[in-house]
Amino acid sequence: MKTILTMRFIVIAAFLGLSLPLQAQTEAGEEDRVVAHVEGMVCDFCAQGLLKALGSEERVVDVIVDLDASTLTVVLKEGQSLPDEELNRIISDNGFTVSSIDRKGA
Amino acid sequence: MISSKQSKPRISRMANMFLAGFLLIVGMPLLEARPVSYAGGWTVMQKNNWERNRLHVHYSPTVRNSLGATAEIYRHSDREDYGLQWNRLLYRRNTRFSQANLYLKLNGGLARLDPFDEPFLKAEVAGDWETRRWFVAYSAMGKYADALDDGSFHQTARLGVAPYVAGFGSLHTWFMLQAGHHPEETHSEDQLILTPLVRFFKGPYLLELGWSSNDEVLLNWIVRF
Repeated sequence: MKTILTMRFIVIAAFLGLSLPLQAQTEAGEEDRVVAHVEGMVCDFCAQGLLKALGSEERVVDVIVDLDASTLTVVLKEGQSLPDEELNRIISDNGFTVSSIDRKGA
Repeated sequence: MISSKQSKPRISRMANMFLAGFLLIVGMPLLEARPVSYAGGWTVMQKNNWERNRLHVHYSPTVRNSLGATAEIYRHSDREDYGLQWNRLLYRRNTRFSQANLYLKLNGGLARLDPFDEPFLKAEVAGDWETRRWFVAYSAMGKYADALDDGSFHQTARLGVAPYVAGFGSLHTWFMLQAGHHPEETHSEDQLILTPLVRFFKGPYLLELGWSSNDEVLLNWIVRF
């Protein structure tokens, strides 16, 4: 009986141990990603400016440009934020128009 | 181009300089407004075609303006132009699948052709529209260099198509046809010039290679940083 209880404890602990950090990591990852839908981003050469402007931000880990989807994904450092107004201003200052901003998991 | 106005009265020269200065001063307040390339970006571009070799280095303080220096060597004369250029993005329209732009470009400085050192002014209005597959552009330019050039008009149009739509960071390729109209040129084969060309760009590098109907090479490149 004791062996069964011990086995159950180990399984439950292992499940919790594995799943909780994974869940936390996923949520943090999603919260740290901001996806802007950008109009006018039809030129690779022109979109380089967005990489420069956002890549120089201390808060930003990565910037992903997807010309097919017309999206700009900004990956932020853990615990950092980039408000919509600020992202909108940075993209507009580079000559593009933001149609919407998604914050997955927020 | 050398005109027959080499013995033009000095009063006319001063009037032209005044006009050039006036145009620059009137345009100056627009510098205060918003940004051409991306803000904080430097661009080095070199154009080599049937008419001239041109180097242009500019800085864009904002996305609506660029300020730069130009040097041009004309291929069929010993004329050299050295000047400053201001490019102004007048209008931009963005949609999800396209971008359209209208630019004003003013270039002024000193034109040298022994024994003359004359002020010159070039004013150009250029527009383009592009999707990831299609590209259309048109520009009209007037230039004047007092004793060296009576004032000439040039217009250029381009139509381009991308044979494949490349993703961000990949090698982009465009096939283009450029038509240049230079009505003041003395040789008839230089008045209307067709240039099929291929454009490549990847990241901040752009290269264009073409061959003109007047049997001359076109080679342009741009680097941004």
